[in-house]
Amino acid sequence: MSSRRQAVTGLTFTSPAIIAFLIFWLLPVALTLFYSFTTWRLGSSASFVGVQNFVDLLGDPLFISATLASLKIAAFAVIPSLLLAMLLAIALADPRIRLGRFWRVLFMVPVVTDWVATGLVWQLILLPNQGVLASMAQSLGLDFLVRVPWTADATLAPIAIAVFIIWKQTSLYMIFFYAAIRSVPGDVIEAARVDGATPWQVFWRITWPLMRPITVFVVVLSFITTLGLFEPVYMLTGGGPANATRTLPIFLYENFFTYARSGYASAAGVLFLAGSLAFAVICSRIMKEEA
Amino acid sequence: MMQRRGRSMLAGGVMAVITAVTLSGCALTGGGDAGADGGPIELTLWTHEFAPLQDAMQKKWIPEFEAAHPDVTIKMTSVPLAGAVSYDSKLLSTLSSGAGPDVWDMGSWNFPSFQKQGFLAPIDPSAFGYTDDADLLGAYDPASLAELSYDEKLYGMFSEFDTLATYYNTDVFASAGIPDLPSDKPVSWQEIGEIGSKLRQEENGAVTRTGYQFGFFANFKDAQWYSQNFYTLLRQYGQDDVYIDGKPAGDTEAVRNTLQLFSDFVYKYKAYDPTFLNNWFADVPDGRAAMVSAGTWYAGAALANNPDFRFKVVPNPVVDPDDPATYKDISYFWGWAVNAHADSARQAAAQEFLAFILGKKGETAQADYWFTNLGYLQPSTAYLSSDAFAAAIAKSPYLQTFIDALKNYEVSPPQHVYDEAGAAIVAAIDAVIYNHATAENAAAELQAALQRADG
Repeated sequence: MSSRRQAVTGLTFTSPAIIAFLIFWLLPVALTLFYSFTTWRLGSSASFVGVQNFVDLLGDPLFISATLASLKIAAFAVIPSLLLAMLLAIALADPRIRLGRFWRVLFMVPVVTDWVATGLVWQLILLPNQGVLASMAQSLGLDFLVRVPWTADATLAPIAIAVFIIWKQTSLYMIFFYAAIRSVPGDVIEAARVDGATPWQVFWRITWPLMRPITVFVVVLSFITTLGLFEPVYMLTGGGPANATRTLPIFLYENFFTYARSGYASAAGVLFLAGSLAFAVICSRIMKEEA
Repeated sequence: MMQRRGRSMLAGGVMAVITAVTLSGCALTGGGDAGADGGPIELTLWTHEFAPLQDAMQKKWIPEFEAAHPDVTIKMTSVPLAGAVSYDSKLLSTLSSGAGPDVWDMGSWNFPSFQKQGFLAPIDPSAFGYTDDADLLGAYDPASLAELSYDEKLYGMFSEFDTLATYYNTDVFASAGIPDLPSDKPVSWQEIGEIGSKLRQEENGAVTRTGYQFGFFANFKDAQWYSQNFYTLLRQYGQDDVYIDGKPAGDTEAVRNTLQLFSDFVYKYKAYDPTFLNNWFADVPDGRAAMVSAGTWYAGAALANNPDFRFKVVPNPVVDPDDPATYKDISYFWGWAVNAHADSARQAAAQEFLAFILGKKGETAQADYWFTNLGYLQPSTAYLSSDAFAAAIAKSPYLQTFIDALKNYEVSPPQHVYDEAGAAIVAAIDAVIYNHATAENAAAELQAALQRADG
């Protein structure tokens, strides 16, 4: 087969994915970029305003507080989630663990369940006085926990959301780490053990360096994914109380759909995308330098 | 070899065509069948999620309409009012794209902006048996038409129109030794707070009952209810809106008093616990709360949750029962709308459907069904003066409280709900009830937020 014909065949077969990518990803991104320079309000026509939306956003205390709230929740969720995922992956990769496949499937249950459905369950878990957590606290004599307003307190609400995200996402990251650990050549580890390396030394000096590329990938993935999460915040707090958990996705959604300030929301989306891309580029640079 | 290549090219081409056709289909379909050629029509109907409304549609009106109109089928979708994606947002986004349902119900707050944006088809008087727009408009209490009529045309038909009154669980009152509330005159908010304080119950460190239920709480953060409760109080304290003469007025004495009252209900009286309430239509019927401010539609849904619920309805509290100038409340109404983007055949079928479920000129049977089964009051003079209405009131005397309230209270819809000012009101109330902010600080924040939104 000539290379030209091969390319045509390849393009033909990949065209469904390419068309879907163009329509459902590239086109919306291009339109968002275009509308970010306009005064477009949902249902009305748009007029060009240059970079005014971006200037307004940078001076908008709600946008700044939404950015900070997103970063706070991401920090609360991602760091413990990755540590937990790593520990679980190490444990499950240990050949001494029995029923390894069963545990892996069990841990994946939160990942494959729906955010909204599990959000309702978490509402009931966290409900003060009548919720699961409150009932457990009451039966254990921990009365000070019975009335704690987990999702209605400005300090606790971001933590409650982070805990929900940790529960839901940790196993996803665990699978990446698990695959990375399993990909480390067994003979290398065996050789290290024969040479007298302790389990910690094996992990720190062999497994971990070989896992670093996937770790950087998971850090980028988890951080950007968490920043973009809409459902857990909307389900547990709706952005409240008093804007304490009004994250960037909530800010975007409300400005776009509720207030119909679609051009303004598009500009916020562009800034969000730019920030995410910058973070990904920095992480990949770090990875490249370390390599 | 060439044949194999050809087959692979052909297979790839077929996949590409299938994908393109599927994707274009996704983009182009959305409404029901066109029906412009006089063929069968599938009307898409959207409603907000409210079990009695779904029951009425699916068990009565849709089957009856389809039986009477064999060429029209109705496809109904119900969307949660304040779910992960709220009903209003879904309506706005779909109508903005030029698609959307053929006919739908929505809260009063959407009519002005949706009409302005051209989403709403004017109601055709002839479909409802009226000679012209003036004839149709004349069939309703003029005060009820404020949000629905523009340039002497009606852009929606009433689904329900009423105001708020206070329901209370008489068993809870009796068990706590609290005498019944007066039914002929409102009591003050302070009295309700004090009674609510006595009705609060705790067991082993956990709250088991709260005295009063405002319409919003931690698990139901709906801007509509924040706004309705806020505006009720704001107007009673003498200010009509958070804008005065078009300028932000969020840091005024009336706003501070309003926010202070919310704060008092949570912290001073401990009559309202927003983190305890969990189910709008079950908390009072099941005795987890004692009182709630709601419309005529509340009783049906509450009794569906607890058929043994015993209740009374009294006028909504006011800030000063001795000063009739403080007898103010919000008007609460939802209306039916027809999609202006639908073709003429679909619009005609949608209007015919509305006429079927709401009644044509002079008909009162439909209005009576809505009122007696769901508490949905249609303020047509024909129904309000009918024997059926008198019979409905005689059968459920508590409904008279609402009719009296419409006469005795000055009612009007809240100005700001699902907009930036509405969000600022939500944030201000949240600040006092969850974050212990003072009314002064929350009012200052509200003013700053209104100024930002205005700028």
